[in-house]
Amino acid sequence: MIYFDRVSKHYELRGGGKKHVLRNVSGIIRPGDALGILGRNGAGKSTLVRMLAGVEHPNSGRIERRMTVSWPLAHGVGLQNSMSGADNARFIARIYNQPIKKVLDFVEDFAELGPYMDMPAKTYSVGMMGRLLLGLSFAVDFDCYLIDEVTATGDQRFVARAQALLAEKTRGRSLVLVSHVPEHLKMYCRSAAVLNEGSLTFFEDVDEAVATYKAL
Amino acid sequence: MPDGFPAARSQFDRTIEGLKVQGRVIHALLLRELQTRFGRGHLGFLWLFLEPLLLASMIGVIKSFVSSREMGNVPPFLFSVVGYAPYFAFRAIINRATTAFQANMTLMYHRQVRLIDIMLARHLLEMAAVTCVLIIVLAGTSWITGFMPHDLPTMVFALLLLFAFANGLGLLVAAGAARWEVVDRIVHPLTYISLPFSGALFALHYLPRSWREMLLWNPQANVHEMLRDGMFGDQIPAYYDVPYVLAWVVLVNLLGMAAVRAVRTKLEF
Repeated sequence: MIYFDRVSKHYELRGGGKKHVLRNVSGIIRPGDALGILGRNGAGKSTLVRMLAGVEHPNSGRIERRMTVSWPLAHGVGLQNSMSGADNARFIARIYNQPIKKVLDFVEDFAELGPYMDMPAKTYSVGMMGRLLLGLSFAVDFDCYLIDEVTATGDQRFVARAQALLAEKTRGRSLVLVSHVPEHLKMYCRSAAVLNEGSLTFFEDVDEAVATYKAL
Repeated sequence: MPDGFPAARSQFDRTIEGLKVQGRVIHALLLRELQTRFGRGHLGFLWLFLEPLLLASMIGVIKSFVSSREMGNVPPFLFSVVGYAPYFAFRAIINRATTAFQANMTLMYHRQVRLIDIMLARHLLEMAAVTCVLIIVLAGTSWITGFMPHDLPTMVFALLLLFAFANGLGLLVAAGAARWEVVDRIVHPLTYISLPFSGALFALHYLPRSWREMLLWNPQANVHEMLRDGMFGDQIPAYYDVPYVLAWVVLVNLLGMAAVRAVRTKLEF
């Protein structure tokens, strides 16, 4: 369960002034939830996910995590570009206390990087990077997965595989998926919320959330 | 708090678990640091101490040809290596600290990786490298010339003090550089300017008394004197004040940790 209560976040702007990204946002993510969060570019979706993950701190309010939560799975973060996919896998295995072989085998099978597994991650295409990221996070068993757009870049085959694995992995677990593409939410999520101008509105029904988002 | 919300674990359990996690993270960071700095080639790990060994030996060899009065009766080569090798490690820690957070921002996406772990891993690596260099040089010279360090425990203690001091300063520099860009610019010239005041190049005994007393305000100069005392013993009279250095070590480490903590919330992803 993740519980967040009256969370606010602002950034200091250069030359003075503040940009308020989140104002008094509250909510609960329970085991088994598959929550999609819709919002336009710059609405604060990624900021919210980083705070749920506990890597960024709110200016006020509190966030409590009582389950294992993945790192925010977003493009270009959490991995080291100068290191190969395999070395990144070893690093993730070490810091998340997993058997190195298990993580390596899983990633090789899931991400299908072939010989690129031993190439520096900076040579990867966006799709390959997304596959590596998801593969690494699935190799570590988290109770809750925080996904920030990375599912959006794969090709047909990958999207199908990711969808199957997510459905299997997130049974009885939680998923928070952030996107500005309504179709992805419909694929992965059972409930949804819309983030707009600093406030988060929850909807039981994904279609309702999509309709609200489109009317913004 | 909503109903059915699991209770937090006890403080003690969390502390023990936290220490285990920190150990794992630092281990992973150490291996990663080795890889990114020296590559995966077979000679990669060797470069870690070959580089400072080469540098310190070169200076040592040059000094043994143009040996001067400042070195007393001790072998100029050893004198230089014992001074320069730790000094290089110290300088590397301070200079590299300016980019430490910026270069590792992506790691901050993993909750268990703390800024302080990143710094500790780097510093431990530098420490391991210079320790290897000293062991190789000392073992080599004692084998060839039969020269043995006068008092090994004093040397080890001095090295530990030097690294603890560098660690605290490194934390301060890293936090400062993350907050103000200008820190990055001034740290490098400062480390060059500070070289003559570090006490690494010459024994303070051969300086006029007033200069010596001025230099001894610098804890680093005390540590280098202590190192030479452990190495050469009575051959060169040494001047140092261990409690004074310890006080500095505690001060810069506490300030450094506080600064890193304060800057954490200000870092932009």
